[in-house]
Amino acid sequence: MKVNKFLGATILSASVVSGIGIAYAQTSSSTPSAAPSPSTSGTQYNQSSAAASDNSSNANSNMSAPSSTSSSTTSSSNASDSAGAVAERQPRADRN
Amino acid sequence: MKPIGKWLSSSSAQVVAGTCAGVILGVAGLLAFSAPAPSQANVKPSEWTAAQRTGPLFAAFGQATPAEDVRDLADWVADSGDAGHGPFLVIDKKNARMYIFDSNSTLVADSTILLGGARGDDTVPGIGSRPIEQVRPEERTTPAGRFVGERGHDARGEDVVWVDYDAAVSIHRVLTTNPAERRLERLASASREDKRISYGCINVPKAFYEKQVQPLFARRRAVVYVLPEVKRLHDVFNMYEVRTRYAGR
Repeated sequence: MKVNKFLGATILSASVVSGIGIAYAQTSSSTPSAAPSPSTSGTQYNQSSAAASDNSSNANSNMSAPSSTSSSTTSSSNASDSAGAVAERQPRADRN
Repeated sequence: MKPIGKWLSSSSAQVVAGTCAGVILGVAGLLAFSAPAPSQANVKPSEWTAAQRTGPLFAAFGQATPAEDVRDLADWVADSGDAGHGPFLVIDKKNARMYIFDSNSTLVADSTILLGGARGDDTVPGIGSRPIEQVRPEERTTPAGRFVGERGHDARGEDVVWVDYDAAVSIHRVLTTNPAERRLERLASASREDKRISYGCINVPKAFYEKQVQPLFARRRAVVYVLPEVKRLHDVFNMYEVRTRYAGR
């Protein structure tokens, strides 16, 4: 009888603890995570390279000397700037 | 001691002992089944730190055969996580090609492109505010560097991806408003010289823009790496060579 009480109490308390733990785990795992980013994978779109149709001559006619202006580029490296919603900037003229 | 010994042998003591044992068993069971092993954790291998990894990560190009600079840079982005483990673009100015990678550094698309008419990797300060007719031929460069691209609109009302907003450099559908420039023919041409026609912007085929570029930037930013054509790769990007970095490990 004593053994039965011991076993019964063990099983009951283990069940209660497990139940609470599982319920907590399910609650925390079902909280919304970050929205999945739109991925472009899946469709293999390889733009065919240059169907050799036009090798006409005036390609070099308006080529200029290399620019020797001051640099405004930076060479990296914040690894954080690809995520997050984007608010559009003011429309402006681009360089065609 | 007698009362304690008596209590220990009582039925209530058995219940208390059983409850304690049950709690311990329950907690132990939960810990055993809930804690994931490091390899099972919900983290992609590409997001592991260098210390967690045993080897390098490389970009996957599939059947594509890019220039060595493109491969070196993409491998570095894959290994270092420089793009924040998100999708990224690489623009090869020398060969006038754009490569789009997903967040696993796998190439998903590439295309021929049109670029600024002038060779050079720098941009003129204040050029973005200048009327386009005042931009001299030698100033029509597509600047090299690391940029955070984002969607937007230009003054024509068309949606674009801003590469360098201040310098007014964007990625957009190929412009056909000036037939004399023959931009569609230039896109189709095998000649690299033919690709240099814009004032600095990056023109891509319409279908490529709408199927690949536009969706990528619809809800997020992405890093755009524009490779230099005059400077050395390592002078523009603070990068390392993945192949040699892991050679001694």
